[in-house]
Amino acid sequence: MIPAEPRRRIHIRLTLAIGLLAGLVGVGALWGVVWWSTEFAEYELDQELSAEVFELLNGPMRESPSRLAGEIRRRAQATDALGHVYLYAESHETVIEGTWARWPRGMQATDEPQTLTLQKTDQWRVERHVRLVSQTLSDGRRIAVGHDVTELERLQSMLWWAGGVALAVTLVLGVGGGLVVSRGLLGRVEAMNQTVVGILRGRRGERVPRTDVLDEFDVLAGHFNRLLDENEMLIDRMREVTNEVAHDLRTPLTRMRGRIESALASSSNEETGDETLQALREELDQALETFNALLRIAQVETGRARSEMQRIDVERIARDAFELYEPAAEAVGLQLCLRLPGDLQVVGDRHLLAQAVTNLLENAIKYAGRGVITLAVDREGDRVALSVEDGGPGIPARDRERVLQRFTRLEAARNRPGAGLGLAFVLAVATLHEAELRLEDAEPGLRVVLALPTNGPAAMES
Amino acid sequence: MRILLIEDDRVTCDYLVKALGESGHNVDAALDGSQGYERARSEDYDVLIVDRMLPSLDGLTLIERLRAAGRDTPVLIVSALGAVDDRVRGLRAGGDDYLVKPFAFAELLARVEALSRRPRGGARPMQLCVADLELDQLARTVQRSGQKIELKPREFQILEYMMRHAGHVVTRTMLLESVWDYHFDPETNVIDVHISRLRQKIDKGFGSVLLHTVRGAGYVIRDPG
Repeated sequence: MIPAEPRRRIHIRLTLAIGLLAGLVGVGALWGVVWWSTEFAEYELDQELSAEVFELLNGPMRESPSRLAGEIRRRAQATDALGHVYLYAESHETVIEGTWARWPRGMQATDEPQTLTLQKTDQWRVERHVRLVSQTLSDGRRIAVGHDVTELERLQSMLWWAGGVALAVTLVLGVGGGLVVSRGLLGRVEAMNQTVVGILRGRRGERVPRTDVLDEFDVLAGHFNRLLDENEMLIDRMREVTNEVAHDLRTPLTRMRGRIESALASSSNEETGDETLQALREELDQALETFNALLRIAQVETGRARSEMQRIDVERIARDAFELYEPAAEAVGLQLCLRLPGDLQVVGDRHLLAQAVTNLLENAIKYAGRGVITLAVDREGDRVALSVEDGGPGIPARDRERVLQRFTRLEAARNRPGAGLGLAFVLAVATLHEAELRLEDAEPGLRVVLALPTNGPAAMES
Repeated sequence: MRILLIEDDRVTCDYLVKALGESGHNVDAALDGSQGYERARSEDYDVLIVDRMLPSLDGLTLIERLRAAGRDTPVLIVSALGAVDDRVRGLRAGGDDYLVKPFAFAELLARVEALSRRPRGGARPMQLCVADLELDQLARTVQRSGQKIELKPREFQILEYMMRHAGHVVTRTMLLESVWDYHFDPETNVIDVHISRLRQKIDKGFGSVLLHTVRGAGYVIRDPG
């Protein structure tokens, strides 16, 4: 059975999957950008610092160490203390000239560019980072040129933060927007779904809404509506044909019946009457009964009764039929019993179900011979079973499929009245209600069970 | 009783005019919708018999227009369309009863007579009497010659319907429709058994017979006096 509402929502799954993918890509890209920009800034700084070292060594130094010291002092004093560091040292301990009095602790002996971390001091309230490029001279002395990179690192962390926030906002907007957009799209699929459900519920005039945009959904809706139009036309045509046949046959039959009745009325004594005419009238009525039964089956099969479906009291249907047939059963020596559990309802067509039950009771009374016939209503999971059980000869298992077909009459029924349409009608009603029709062995006898879905046909569920 | 028959099939029309005339009614006939509408609107009839499919003006539209024009003459719709929803549509359009073609003349006659007796507007009497048989609708009791009679609910409903139409034939189909709300005819004649049970209770042991079977038509309850 197809539920009216989907169990899982495709747009949520799709949007979340795309969101997750976009998130992963975004985090990767952010990491790449920050990493590359930091690396690049550091590289540039190192180049600059190396160039200054080169300039110092190839300028004043070439002339004399004292001139180098002088230049270092000049630069150390001239430069903004916040930014630059210049050091000219004898060894680890003895600084000849420079920004600091001492060679900084933690400074590696290598001449590779390095970053030093300076602890908080009275002067500096925060931990600071300095990038240093050093050079060991041929006389064992070292010079170092550095630059404060604290700001750069702050910038880097801000870059991370801003990037992260931007990514988060993008993801939220993306997933949220994706959900809204995809819900909008699925809303149109949902509209089609509701249209179909509406049509199955008997509102045959419903059509899928369309916009003037003429996008894929509008084109689909257009094709879909055309299909529905054609379907409706076919059903209407079928109904027309049924009506025409009914009308075209019934008019001459009405005349015929009228003529027979006129002839009977004008014959001298109606009590004995004209036997041929009476027999004729009887046979005509029987043919009419068959014709009507066929027409009713056709009407039920074309589903035109769906619009009549509503919540009904099954037990009342059973009780009504019981009260109608109980005296008739007793008159032929049968006992009709009624078993109701109390308060069971289904969604269905009251008139059709009532007629189905009377058909079953008629069959039971006709074929049971004697004994007890039980008409019962039982709960059967999510179904309500209407059943008629007799103690008659039953139907052999091999014939059970066959008796549901039109005009099937088993050997035992040949000499009894009837056209073999009773069970065919019950089957048509069962199919319309999406009910299960079972013919079971009641040992002895036949049990016919009509198991109706409590909420009516699946498409009727809300 | 004055009856207007609106039916386009001439053979059926002639037969019905003749048969209704023989039953003591005064029948006018119209062979198409607009002609029928004009007569029904301008003249006074007790009952209208309207075929559903008519040339020039469809039967249901005819009834709707008649009701809109303020005419409340009882209407019996006769139609070749016999599904439950056809019936519902017919009654919704303003018809009072619905009979599917072809029908036994007795059925038509019984229904026409029942319609003409339908009280228009006014409240229905709560106590029904036929000879010495009394039925109290409020107390839901039945007495004959002052002697209380116990009836099952369905027997009570059948008797009530028949006493409401006392003196007129009530058909099996009419009883199925009014008491069971069944709009189909069961194959076997189940109503007969109910009637004979009812007869056992209200007629047996009393001087006169009130409940009669009318062969080929139905039943009637009538005052022998």
